[in-house]
Amino acid sequence: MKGIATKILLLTLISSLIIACSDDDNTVNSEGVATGQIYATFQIIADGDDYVYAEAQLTDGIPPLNAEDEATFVQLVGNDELWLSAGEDLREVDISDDIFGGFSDLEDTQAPFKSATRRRESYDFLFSRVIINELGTWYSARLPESEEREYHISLFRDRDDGTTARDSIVTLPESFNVTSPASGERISRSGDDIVVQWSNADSASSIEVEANTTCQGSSFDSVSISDNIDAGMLTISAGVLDSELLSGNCSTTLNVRKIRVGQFDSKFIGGAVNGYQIRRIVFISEP
Amino acid sequence: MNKIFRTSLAAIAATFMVAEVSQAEGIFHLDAGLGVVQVSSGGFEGGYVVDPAIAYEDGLVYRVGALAIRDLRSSSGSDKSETEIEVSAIYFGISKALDIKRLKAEVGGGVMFSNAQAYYYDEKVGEDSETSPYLNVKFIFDLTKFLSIQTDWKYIDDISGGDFHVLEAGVRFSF
Repeated sequence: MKGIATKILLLTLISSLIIACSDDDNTVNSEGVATGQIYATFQIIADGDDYVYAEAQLTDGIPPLNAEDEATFVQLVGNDELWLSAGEDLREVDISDDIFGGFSDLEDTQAPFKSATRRRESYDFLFSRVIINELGTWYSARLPESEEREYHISLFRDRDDGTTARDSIVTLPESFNVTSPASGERISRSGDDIVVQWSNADSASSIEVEANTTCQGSSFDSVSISDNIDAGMLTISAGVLDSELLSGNCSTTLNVRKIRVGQFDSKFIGGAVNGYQIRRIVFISEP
Repeated sequence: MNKIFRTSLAAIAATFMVAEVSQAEGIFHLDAGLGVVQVSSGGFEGGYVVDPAIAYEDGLVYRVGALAIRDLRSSSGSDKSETEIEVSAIYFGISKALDIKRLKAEVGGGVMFSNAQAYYYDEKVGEDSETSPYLNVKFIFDLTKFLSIQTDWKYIDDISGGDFHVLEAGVRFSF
């Protein structure tokens, strides 16, 4: 009798272990989720190199970073695919007139999202703007940066064209450079107004400037300033960067972000589509 | 038509005029070839070709064939493995057969009706139909009265913007 009880206990433990290992309960395959049930989170970033980077996360009904309930992440399976397109989306593309020549343009304007595990460094500078939950299934794609600034993110679902969601759109803010302060400049945290200036002021974008200061001994402080209108400049008043956490000469990384908010496809239950241009410079901040 | 094609057609015509007509009665050939393809424009490479044909030889060789080109991919770009062009074609040709003991050569040309389809990550992004002239040189080596081996070169002038060189090896059944 004791032997049978031990075996039953052992079997129960093994079964529990198998279930625990095989059933990732915060992920669901896309074939079991209707488009109208999906919350779509998309963000597109250009950080000054030659590419535009995109991240996508699909969740079941609620945003991926939800304070009240834990999100269930949708994993794309079968013929369900996400695509990033500069300009017209993949299913509008027709290179019939020039089949051999048309492919090069296609490779510059169309890219499939692939399952991702590691963020691009520039995403680390989004801080409060992060809308993707790294702990869940998410996807990334990239395209060469071009003149085209309107990006489509399309969810293609071959099983039923009616559930395909092709109309999530965001226009990336215009490319720009930070013209002031200069990289490596020495600026007093307590005594100098820091006038941050950049090129290509874009009235349709909002602006955020974030200054992250790191000193010897790893002491750190961060200050953010934002403006709903991109006027081409923003001033961090003297003393704003000063903090009792910081001492001596420190390294301050200034992240200037331009943001445009896009529109998610109405077939989704909800969503967020953001486009960012990010630039950063590093200067020396003195007491 | 480009210069190569015009020059080659002239050479074929000259061949027809000077070659002696030696065939007494007609023979049917079933040709089957497998080969590789190179596109002289457009940055594409690789690809294989399947080329079955039936021909009737009576001094001249009259041929009807089908050509399938698959797995033709872009030779540049980060997503080159995800681009593919497929070409399906039928062709009608006429050649002059020249006998050199057990080796036979055929020189000719014809017209090809093709349909090219372009795929990007398996998504169809273009389709084009074209009528193209082609040149053909074939060498046949008789193994038996009924069975031969052969090599075949075709130059196809402009399928959807690309000029094709097709090189094949295959067999021939004659009856």
